[in-house]
Amino acid sequence: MGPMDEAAIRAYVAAAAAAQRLALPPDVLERVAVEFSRIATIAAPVLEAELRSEVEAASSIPP
Amino acid sequence: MSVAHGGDALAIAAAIREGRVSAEAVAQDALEAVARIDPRIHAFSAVTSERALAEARAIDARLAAGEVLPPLAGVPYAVKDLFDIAGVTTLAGSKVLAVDPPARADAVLVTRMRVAGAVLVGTLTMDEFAYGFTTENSHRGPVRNPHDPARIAGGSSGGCGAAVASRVVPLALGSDTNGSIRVPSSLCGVWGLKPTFGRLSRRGSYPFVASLDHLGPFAATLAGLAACYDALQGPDGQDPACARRPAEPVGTPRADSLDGVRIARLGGWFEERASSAVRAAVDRACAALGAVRSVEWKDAALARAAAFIVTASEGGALHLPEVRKRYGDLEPLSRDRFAAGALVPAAWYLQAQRLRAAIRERARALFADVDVLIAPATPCAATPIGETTLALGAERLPLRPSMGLLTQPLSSIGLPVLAAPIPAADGALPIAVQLIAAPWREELCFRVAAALEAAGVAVSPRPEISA
Repeated sequence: MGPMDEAAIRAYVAAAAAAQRLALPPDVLERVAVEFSRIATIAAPVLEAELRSEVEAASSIPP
Repeated sequence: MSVAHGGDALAIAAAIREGRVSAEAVAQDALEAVARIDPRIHAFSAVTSERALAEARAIDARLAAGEVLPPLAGVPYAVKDLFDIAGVTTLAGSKVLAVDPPARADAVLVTRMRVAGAVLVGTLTMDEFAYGFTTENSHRGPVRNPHDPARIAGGSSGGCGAAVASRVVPLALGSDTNGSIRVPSSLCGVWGLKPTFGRLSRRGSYPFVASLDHLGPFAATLAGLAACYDALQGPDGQDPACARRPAEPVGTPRADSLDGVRIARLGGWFEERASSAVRAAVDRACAALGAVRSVEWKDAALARAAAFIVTASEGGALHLPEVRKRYGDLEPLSRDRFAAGALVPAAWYLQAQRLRAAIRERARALFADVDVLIAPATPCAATPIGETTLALGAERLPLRPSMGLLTQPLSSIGLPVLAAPIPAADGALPIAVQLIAAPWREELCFRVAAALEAAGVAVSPRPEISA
């Protein structure tokens, strides 16, 4: 999986913010897109990781 | 102070128990220390004078009545301002919560400190909603490092690190989601403990990331850290994230009990992301312990990345209402990150949670032939206030999220970690090493810490700015 396209990120952030009823001005949306891009970069190896199907999500369960 | 305690919680308790000083005098001295020292470090967000004096007088009355006092009787302490204190509004470092009503009851861990006899003197400044590693809180001003007030104290429990390092209080309670106890412990040079996920009750504390939040103690001495940790332990049937385990007291850490404890250094990710001065501190710790073996944890980067996603997503979702309605009142240094986190796709979040579960299982192998792992707590010592980037070799990273590079992988899977302060050999700024054990084996961390302390390698250095 290659790096996400910056224009695609900006478009996603604008659409997702609207869906979340986040009415943020364009300059703020631009900064949020930068932060989202950072998350996406760090997330890349997580999204690529192959997991056995039996591994289920765990949230607040102590180890 | 009436007792020249040097931040030694147990020395204070002993002096009170033996009638050499009253708890009230100790409390008054602690309050005076806050007034004298705090203007230089900005660690406190509120001072609970009336409560402190009332709790102290109650201790004196119990002693006068011939009662056997509990272990921390009369010891002053303070808490990160995300712990509920009855009668005080819990701010969590924010402006937006200032309109909330005061808490109706103490957090569970504050109650346990009261039962142990400790005396609450105030609340401590933090990064807003615990999202940060620098405690450059724009609403309150930055917390300053007592070793060099031009530098950060670390975060998000920066007030805890600074208050304990300056000996204004010998003990503090903080929280650690991705490193927020261990980072300020490192940068301020104090002892800190992030227990196993689920060990301590979180009831009555303001949440950040339910999947990752831990609470734990800071102390100026190792014995103080152990006594405080023991006071906090025990199950809580009303906190679903608190394990149904009995307390497992560590008692007084002993330096002569390392027989059979297998210790190794964590290499790879943890070496590559540390400055030469930090690596030298780890070298000294390993040499003192005779730890010659190095092991690599291949999942460290993935564990950190998973925690990053979970943090962004859960934190963003939690604060989405404020992001929607009060964006201008949120911390400028983190509000864009909260907004971005609220937009993380559910599939990313769920994959990150599944990965954490898998990594946690695989990590069991790490402890098959090692009991305690050693790694640096921060990539470098305290950086100047206002610095925005962190130079690691040829790389320049954004500082605020990167100061937790070495702590975040470990809390991602809930391992217990003790931060042991290592003063710099040349009198420069301290850092801490992380002593890491398998889940529920905190006592191993304490045993290794005691050996480091006995060897003269680990100690909380007293800064010039101190009580």
